[in-house]
Amino acid sequence: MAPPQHDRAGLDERHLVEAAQRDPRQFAELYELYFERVWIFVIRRVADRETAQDITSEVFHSALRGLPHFESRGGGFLAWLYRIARNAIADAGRQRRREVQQVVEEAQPADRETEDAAKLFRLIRRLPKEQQQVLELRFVAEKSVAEAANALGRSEGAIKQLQFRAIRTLREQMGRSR
Amino acid sequence: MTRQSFLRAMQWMPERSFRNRLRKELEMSAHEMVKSPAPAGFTAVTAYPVLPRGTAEAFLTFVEQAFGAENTMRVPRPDGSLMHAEIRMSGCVLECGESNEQFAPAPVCLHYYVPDVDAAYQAALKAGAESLYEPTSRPYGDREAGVRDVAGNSWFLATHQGEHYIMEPLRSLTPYIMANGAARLIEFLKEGLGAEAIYVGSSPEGRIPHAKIRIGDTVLEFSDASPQWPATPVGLHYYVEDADAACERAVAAGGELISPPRDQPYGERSGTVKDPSGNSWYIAQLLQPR
Repeated sequence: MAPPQHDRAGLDERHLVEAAQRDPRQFAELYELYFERVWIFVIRRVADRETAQDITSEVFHSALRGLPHFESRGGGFLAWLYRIARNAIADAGRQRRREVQQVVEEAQPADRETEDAAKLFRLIRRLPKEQQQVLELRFVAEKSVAEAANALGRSEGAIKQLQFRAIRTLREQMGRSR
Repeated sequence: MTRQSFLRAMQWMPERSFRNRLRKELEMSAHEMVKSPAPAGFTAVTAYPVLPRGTAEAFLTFVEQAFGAENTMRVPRPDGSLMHAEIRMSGCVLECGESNEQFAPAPVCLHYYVPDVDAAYQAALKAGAESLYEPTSRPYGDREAGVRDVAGNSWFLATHQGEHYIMEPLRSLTPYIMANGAARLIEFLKEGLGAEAIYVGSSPEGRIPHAKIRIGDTVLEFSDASPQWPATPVGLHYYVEDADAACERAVAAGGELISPPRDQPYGERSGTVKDPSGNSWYIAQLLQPR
């Protein structure tokens, strides 16, 4: 099977943005399109998940509030989200006295690594629930196989098998570029 | 993707619970910005397929695995079957329940715009759907494929070939109603539900091959039934400011009152009216915001 094509989100956002400007409830469609990219942009640039969640929330809430004033020029909606994120990260850095400014300045939106990770996370949402839970326990909560087995009430062998299947599916669907 | 880049990316994996929580917060905020009789996240009209008993689990798994949908609410009946579920997909809402003595199975047709119809079609087949037709480029500018899911619902998957993948004025997910007597139905919707016809096509034989009708803030699609696409009366959840007045108006326009409005235990006042083509409209008013 051919690897999934790159999605066309960039081409389509104007329609969605205008629809959301007319009816803010349609912001939900922009959220579904861009959550992963904004999240990755943020988590790559802050020290911990809690801060990443606070900032990602702030970005989308600010974007929803600021939507009536958004005008699509130079870079479009995603670039605007990144700009809000960049400012929020800088503010958080100042508040928490953490030196993030330099990283923030280097931020290059929409690089290949971000796009690949965003696609990966969208694919993960389509895996069977149990496989998603195992990935979250192992890679996000950083639990051992034994701890994951305990949390889900499964054997260690079952956890290994679920993780193996999940990763095999993801690697197939992402294509094997080397 | 190399093993190294995979492992690196996995360090950034977002928690599903966070993604869902933030979606909910944004729905609530957006809801406060508009005046709508519908609950947060909803528009006026939502398709409500009644799934054949015993297929709900497979259906919910199908929409998650094929389309990345999220099951955001689930209410079982005492016997364990599914009374009610809500699904979020691409910023839109779909509801469903399982059939029982009171509700016969009533599958729906859904027109679903996706960025890449070929990929969505493959994902749907992989998740257990049956192919109705392969991705095909249509003269009206959509590339389209058809599948039938495990509960008998038909999905018209589409990518608009213009600048945007969604053809205006539709959203990602639109109920598509095949009706006997579409012309009469559209008149009823205008008179009885205050609908506005955006587009009504006509064929030389006098059929309506396609129509787009706005009801409240929601656009629905209709066509006359055909041998290939027989009439499939569906359930539609329709939120209004005043359920009693709306039911009365629908009945005056020729709708059949199936159950008069009454306060329901789930915080709605609602009644059911059947339109001339046999579709059931669950006309509802929120008793408290949600």
